[in-house]
Amino acid sequence: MSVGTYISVLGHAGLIGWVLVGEPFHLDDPEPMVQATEVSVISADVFDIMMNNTPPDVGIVGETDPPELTFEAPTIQSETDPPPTQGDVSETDPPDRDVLPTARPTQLVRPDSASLVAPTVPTAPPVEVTPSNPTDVSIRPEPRPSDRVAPQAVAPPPPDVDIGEITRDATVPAEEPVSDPVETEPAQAPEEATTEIVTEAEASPLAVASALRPQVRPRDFPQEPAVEETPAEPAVDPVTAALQQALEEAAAEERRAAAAAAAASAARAQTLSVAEAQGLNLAIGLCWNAGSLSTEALDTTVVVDVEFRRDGRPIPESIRFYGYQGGNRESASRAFEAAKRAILECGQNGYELPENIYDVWRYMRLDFNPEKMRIK
Amino acid sequence: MRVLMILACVLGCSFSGGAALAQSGPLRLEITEGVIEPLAFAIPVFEAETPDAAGAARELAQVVAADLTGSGLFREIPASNFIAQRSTFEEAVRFPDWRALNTQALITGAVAIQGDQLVVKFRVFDIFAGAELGTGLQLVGRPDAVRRMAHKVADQVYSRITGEGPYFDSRVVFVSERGPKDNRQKRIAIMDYDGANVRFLTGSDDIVLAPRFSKDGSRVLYTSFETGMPQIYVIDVGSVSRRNLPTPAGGMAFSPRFSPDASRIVYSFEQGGNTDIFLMDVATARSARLTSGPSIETAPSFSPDGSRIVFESDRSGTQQLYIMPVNGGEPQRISFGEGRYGSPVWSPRGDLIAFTKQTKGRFGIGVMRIDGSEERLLSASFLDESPTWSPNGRVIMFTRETQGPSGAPALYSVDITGRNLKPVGLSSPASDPSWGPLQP
Repeated sequence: MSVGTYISVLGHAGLIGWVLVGEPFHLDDPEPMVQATEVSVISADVFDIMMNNTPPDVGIVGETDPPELTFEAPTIQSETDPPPTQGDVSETDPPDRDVLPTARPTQLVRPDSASLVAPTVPTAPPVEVTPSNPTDVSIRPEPRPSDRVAPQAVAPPPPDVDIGEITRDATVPAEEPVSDPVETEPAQAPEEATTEIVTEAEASPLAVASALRPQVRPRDFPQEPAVEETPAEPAVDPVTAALQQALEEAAAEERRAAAAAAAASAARAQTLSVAEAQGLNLAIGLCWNAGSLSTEALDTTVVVDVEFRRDGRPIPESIRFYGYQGGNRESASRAFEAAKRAILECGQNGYELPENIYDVWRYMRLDFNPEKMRIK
Repeated sequence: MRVLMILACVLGCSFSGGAALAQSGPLRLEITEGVIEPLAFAIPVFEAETPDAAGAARELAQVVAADLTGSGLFREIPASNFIAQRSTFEEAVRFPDWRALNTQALITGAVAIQGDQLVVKFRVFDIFAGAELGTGLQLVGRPDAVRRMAHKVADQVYSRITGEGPYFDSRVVFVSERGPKDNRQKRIAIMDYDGANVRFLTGSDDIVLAPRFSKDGSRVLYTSFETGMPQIYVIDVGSVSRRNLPTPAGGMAFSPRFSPDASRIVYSFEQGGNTDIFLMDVATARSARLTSGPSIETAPSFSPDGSRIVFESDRSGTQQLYIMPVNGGEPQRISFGEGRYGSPVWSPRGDLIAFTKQTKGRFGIGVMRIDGSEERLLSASFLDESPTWSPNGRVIMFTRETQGPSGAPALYSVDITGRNLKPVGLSSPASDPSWGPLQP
């Protein structure tokens, strides 16, 4: 017997066996989708009778005579169909069962229409004028002018930080004249803000375009290390050093207060986008040269505080050593100098940062992590 | 679906790595992308404060520049590119002019000959910080010690900028070779780290091998075939006087090394086809056996604290590295890679061990942690062997021998990062280097 016969016998045997003994393996029949029930149909007249209990306006229905049945045998005319003409039947060879097809499948050809085309900018999806849930979309409402809300002008609230009025000189004489690094911030909201009613209910459809930037999800960040002393400065006159230290401390306090206010403002508003942060990372990294650092310095992550001007240029005097992780003080000092060089060298012409959120990035704390550049 | 959501979450988290970190305080950003390249420095010719110091001023600047550039961590900006021309040492630095050249460090100096002394002053400036790096220093020395004073200046600059310890003002003892390959004359010689000032410590009558500096650089141990059998000798570098060290009779003593305090000497001793490691007390000249067994144990090297010894042994069937306590004890194997490991040398920092590795018909110099982890090969060639550490543990010098009848050994150095592989500036064949300490 051929292989096919075996397969056929086995298949049939299996099928018969399954029919005979396969009942236990049958799955329970699912519940029928439609349940049938017996119903009877009544006419409208019967329904009226049932409802009104009155007989229908019809005569008595008598028995009818059965129709007379006549049987006529149909005449059958039939013609036998001619037998089908069979063409020349030639004996053909039985097919070779085990012979593989000689024609190979041809490889699919990429259709001409599949040529690459330049990507097109997708059209913007239609803007939902009235969002189903207003909290889903950060819509900045369009203010509309209004009369002064309060009948009388209210005195501005006291500032969060009491800034001293003492004018201090720069702690370290700048080699080149630098503009005042401290931008004058309004102590309160502008006057116009109080003459307008701002309400979410009157949001413009176009306000979607000005939705808040997405907040970057904070990642786990190492705990801030203990603040280390700044690297040793060149020896100077003790009086000058003491004066400079006092001035630096006062300036540092002032900067911290301003940084806190800026940070609070940033927390309420916006922050750098992932792309902007990554861009700054790369821009500073272009000048962050770890090639001349010791192997210990390459194991040291230094944290540097820096203040930027509105045009993106770092203020040299503002670059301060905040702390370090790994390594030792000596290696941290070298790593800090390399980081400082990087910030200043690549920031000569200003970093590309969004000016509209200057308050967000004016003060920054940068972690220079050489993990990727270590000797491995 | 759940897997996809987790994957999306992971991807999202990873993409936020470089983003600003939302938290209280100033905006925080992690800088992770940097570059590895030599630091650009400029060194104008030192000012000659006395007329007879002009030559020394020129040479000083040249040697300092060569030292820094030769380390591979610095790149000199040619003087022809300078914008600012300094006239005096005390003149204020025009930082914008140097910034325009992307100069990151500026070295200025002045030289004077006062009586029979050479006086050298120098300062280092961080150009982009606009400030002096450290404080200016003044060195005083003999007028004929211009190169050493230049090495001292270069060491200061190197350490201030990199944070590494200095190593330019150091010397290397080695075997100087001359003649055809089948009849080489070998002499113990000493030189500056850069190949200058070569001096010979022995004659060319006998075959000498494997010189090793003591930690203070005053003495050198080496193996000589003066008696027909290899024996250990010690030579005083200052007086060039030498003496034979007593070792057990009836065998061959070789591969000696001083302990860090120079009170003991560890060496190999072969007798009856078996080689073991012995420890000699220098004061009493008594030796104690540290290893025993039919295998070959050799090439011992002390840890910097003198408490342990790393050596090579074929007790496992192939040549591998082991560490044992200084007074003997159960060795612990630390090398497990393919090939054979030999001639281990403990780093002066104590964190790494340099070795020679033979695999697939080639030899290379590598380093590994003292537990055998993080093995890295720094070189590979027909024959690289005999590594030795610079005093700061940053550079390794070794012997590279070229193939063929005309092949000859030469000294090479490489940074432990694997970069800056280069030959040492010697005009004659050399082998078996041993890097000495920083000179006082």
